[in-house]
Amino acid sequence: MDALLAGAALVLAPDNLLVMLLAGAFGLFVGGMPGLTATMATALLVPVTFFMPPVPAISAIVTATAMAIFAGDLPGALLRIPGTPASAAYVEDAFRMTQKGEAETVLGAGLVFSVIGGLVGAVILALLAPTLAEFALGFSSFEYFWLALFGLSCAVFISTGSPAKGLVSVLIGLLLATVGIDTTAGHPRFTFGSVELLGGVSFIPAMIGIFAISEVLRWVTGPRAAAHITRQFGNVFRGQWALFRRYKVNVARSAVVGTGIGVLPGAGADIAAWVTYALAKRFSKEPEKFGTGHVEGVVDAGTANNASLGGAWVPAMVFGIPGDSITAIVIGVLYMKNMNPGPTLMLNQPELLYAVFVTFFVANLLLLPLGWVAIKLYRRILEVPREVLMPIILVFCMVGAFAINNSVFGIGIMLVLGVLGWFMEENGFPVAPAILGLVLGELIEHNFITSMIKADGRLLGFFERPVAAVLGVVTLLVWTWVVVGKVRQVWQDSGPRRSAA
Amino acid sequence: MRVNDALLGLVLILGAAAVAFQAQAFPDLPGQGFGPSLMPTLIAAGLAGCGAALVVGGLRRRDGPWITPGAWTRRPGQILDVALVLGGMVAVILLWQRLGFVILATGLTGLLISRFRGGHVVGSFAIAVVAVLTIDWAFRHLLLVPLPQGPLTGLYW
Repeated sequence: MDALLAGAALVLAPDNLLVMLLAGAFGLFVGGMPGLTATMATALLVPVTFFMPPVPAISAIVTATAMAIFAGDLPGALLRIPGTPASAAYVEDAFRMTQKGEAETVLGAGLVFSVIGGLVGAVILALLAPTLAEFALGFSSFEYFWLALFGLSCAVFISTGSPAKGLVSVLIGLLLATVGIDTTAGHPRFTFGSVELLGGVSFIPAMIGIFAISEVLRWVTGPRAAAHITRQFGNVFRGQWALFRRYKVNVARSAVVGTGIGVLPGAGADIAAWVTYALAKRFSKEPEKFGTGHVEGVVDAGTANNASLGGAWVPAMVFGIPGDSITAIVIGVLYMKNMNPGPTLMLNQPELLYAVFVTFFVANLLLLPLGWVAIKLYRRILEVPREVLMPIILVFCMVGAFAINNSVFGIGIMLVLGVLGWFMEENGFPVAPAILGLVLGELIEHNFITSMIKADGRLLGFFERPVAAVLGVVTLLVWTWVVVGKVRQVWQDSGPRRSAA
Repeated sequence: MRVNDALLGLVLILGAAAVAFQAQAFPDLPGQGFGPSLMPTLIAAGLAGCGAALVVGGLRRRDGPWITPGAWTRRPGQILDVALVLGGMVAVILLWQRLGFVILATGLTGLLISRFRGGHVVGSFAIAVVAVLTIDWAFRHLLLVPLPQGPLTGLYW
């Protein structure tokens, strides 16, 4: 209880609330700009949060992401351009509702159900994290190795597109994590004589490159249509209570499923939205209306994408394993502040864990007034020309990449990985698994080598502790399921050709 | 720019071979048959496996050219935009200490804004000056990041 009060005091301090307000406005702006994602908002915030104490840093990230995920609904509903990937699942319904003159209803639903989803996610986070942390205290290197491997496996197989490309992305991240002095033997690896590379590939410049520079490059190489809206909006809260009563089962289901998907390492708000939209259609009494401007899918997926944000912090805080690309960035930030996320955080700095819970509540409550203001001002937000914004983002990224180590080498890393991230996305390779690989690389290798030494090189030793055995078998089953599925698919595809021959 | 999966797979296999080759030079841990080379070797094996899968998949589905340039490569204006963004960043890296942040960033931002807006040079550079000085003030004064000032050292805050 003392820790909870201490955490609440840290979050509710006036300067922290000011940070949350500013971060909230920033998140709404970035999320509302078509083409700029919640992950990019986090990436751009990191250079600033790097210089803050832990609680304001975390508060800024939590608030900005909650706002950005909601704000992604605005261009989706008004322009048919999802502001963030998390809004893509229901963009068709939302836009058609606007065309039918129901813009207020769909924007209000996006806002209200985002808040509800976010609050439920926060409750589940607050209940689940301490219990899991207690359980995780008994974990050894074997359990951590399997857990991290399971996390990476989920990131590979849940990500959209080909599993082989997802795996390549993870492996690139893991390979980048091996650069520098090896932690077990102290031997330099892949440094090519560079003193700068001895410390490894700096995480923050890498992440800014992959998530922000690649976005700038995508904008520069893509079509540049200007987006404008001319109308004003009325009362967006009218009719929301009736919607809640009508779809309360949907809201409960999507909040729980969304949080659960957030907890799964590697799966974030976008996947939560797609899954719950599909579930809503499956269980709906009017599935034929989906895609024609029906609010039900918006309610479900809008609830789930914000709920998943809280869920993603469960594995991040308890095991140090990110639940999505945003928490991957957060873990990097925490490590740099010498606050290693994991079960011992609950023992050593419980007020920090409780501060995260309280931050989620406050951020989601703040979303209601700030989101309302964002809807009212959205016309003006869209008027900010991206021709001006993108060069400024570019310069901001360069300063951020420099600021971490006060080295121009960071800008070089950012540029190289920005081009790599852009090229990867152009060719269907998801980039989020690469960041998870980079964050988890050292953890996986350290626990793998430690476990190998403990087991004297016997791989069966990885299955001798009960929890490790369960985690190991589950991870291997996931791989078997995917590989068997792929082989069957190839076999079926080649069937007609075989019979033709 | 889209590259056929088979070609990407081949590049991955070659890259994996280079990683594995370099890793074999790393020493083992004392008294163990493994060491710093183990993880890179496993990663290389994984990359080679994925590369092989991409080669097979790419050859099976090959119905277009090996490399398909993006639509932007057919618009000379956009090629110049990309060159300015990438070249500008390389120039910033090379001249960072010599010219300092404010000069480089104002030059790059002003150039890019005026290019993207199709003119308005004075207005674009005015926006660039305000934006860069704000960033410089925030990072150098509030966050105490030692951004280099180059020839302007001592001339402003």
